[in-house]
Amino acid sequence: MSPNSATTAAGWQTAHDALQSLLNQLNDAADAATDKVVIDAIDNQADKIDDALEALNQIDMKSRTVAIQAAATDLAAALKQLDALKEELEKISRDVEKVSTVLGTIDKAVTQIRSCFGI
Amino acid sequence: MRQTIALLSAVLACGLAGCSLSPLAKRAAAFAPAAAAAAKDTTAAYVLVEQTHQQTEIAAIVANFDQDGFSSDKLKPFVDDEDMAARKKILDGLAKYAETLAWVSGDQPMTEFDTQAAALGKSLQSLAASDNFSSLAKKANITGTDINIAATAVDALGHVLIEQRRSRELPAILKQMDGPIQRICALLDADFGSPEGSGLRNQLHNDYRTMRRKQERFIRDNEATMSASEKRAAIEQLPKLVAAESAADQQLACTQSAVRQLAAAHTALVASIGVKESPAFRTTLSELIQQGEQLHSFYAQLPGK
Repeated sequence: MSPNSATTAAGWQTAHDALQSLLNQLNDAADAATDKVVIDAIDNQADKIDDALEALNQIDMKSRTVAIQAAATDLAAALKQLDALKEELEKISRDVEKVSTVLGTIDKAVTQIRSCFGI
Repeated sequence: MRQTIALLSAVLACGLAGCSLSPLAKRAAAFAPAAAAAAKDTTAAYVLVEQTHQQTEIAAIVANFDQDGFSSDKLKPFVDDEDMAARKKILDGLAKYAETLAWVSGDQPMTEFDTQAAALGKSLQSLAASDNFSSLAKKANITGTDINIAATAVDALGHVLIEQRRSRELPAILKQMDGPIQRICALLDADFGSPEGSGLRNQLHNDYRTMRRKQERFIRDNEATMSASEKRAAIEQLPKLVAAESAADQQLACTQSAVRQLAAAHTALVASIGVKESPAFRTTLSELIQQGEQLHSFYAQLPGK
C-alpha cells in the first residue's frame, strides 16, 4: 500500500467510523423514544446515514477490485504451470493407450494383408 | 527375454516402494479439498450478503411506501456487477487450482495409468493368441505369464515416471502459487471486514439493523388496524431478525477465518517441501477443515436452509 493510499484508507475509515457511531446513536435514540413522530424522524435520518455508509462500503469494495483483478491474472499464470503438469501426467497414460490401440489394429491389418495377398 | 522382463519388473517394483505418492503430494492432495470448500463457502458469503441486502431494500420499500412510493432505483445490488465479476473470477480460479491440484497430487494419474496398462496387457494377450502371431510367440518362447510380467513392468514404469514428474515440478508450482494465494486471501479477508468497521460484515450488520427499524415502523404505522394475532406475528419477527443476524454474522466470521487459514495452510504446505513430516502443516490444515465443518453447522441453522 502506497503512503497516499494508506492515508486515503485511514481517512475513509475515520469517516466510516464517525457515520457508524452516529447511526448507532440514532438507533439507540429511536429505541428510547416513545413519540411516533420523533421515532419516524429519527428513522428518516437513520436511512440517510445508512445510505451514506452503504456508499462508503461500496467504495471500499471497489478499492480492492483492481488488486483482485491483478491477483486473478497472477493466479491464472501460475495455474498454467499446474495445467501443464496435469497434461504431462495425462500424456504418460495416453502414450500407453496409443500402444494398446496400435496393437489392437496390428492383428486386423495383418489379417487384411494376408487375405489380399492370399498368404 | 523373460529374465530381462522379470528383472526390470523387480527393479521398478523396488523403486516404487520408495517413491509411491510422495509426502508433499499427499499433503497437496489433502490441502486441495479444504481449499475448494473455502472457495465455495466464500462465494456463498457474497450471496448471503446480497440476499440480505435485497430483503432490506424490500423491507424499506414496504415501510416507506406511503411516504416515498416505489421506484425500481431502490433495488440495487450491494456489490456492483464489475466488482462481483472480479471476485467470481478469483474464486473460480481458486476452485480450479484446488481441483487441478487434487488431480495432479492425488491417486488419479496412477489409477488412469493402471487402467491403460491393464488394457495394454489385454491387447498383448489377444495379439499373442491371434492366428497371425501365435506361432511367432511360440517361436520366441513368450508365454501368457511373460506378457503379464511385461504389462506389470510397464505399469511400474508409468508409476515411477508420474512420481518423478510430480516430485520435480510440484514444488516449484506450489512456490509460484503461494504469492497469488497470499494476496487473494488478504484481499478476501479485507472484503469481509468487521461488523462495526467495514466490508461485507458491516453491510450485513447495518442491513439487519435497517430491517429491524423498518419492521418496527411497519408495526407503528399499522398497529391501529392490526388484529391481536397479526400484531403478535409482526412483533415476533423482531427477535427472529436478531437471531438471523447473529447466525449470518457467525457464518461470515467463520468463512473469513477459513480464508485466513487457507493462506496459512498454503504457506505451511510450501514450507513442508522437502520435509518428510510436517506437524505445522497438519495443524493448520486441521484448523482449516474444522472451520469448514463449523461453517456447515451454521448453514444448517440459517432460516430456509
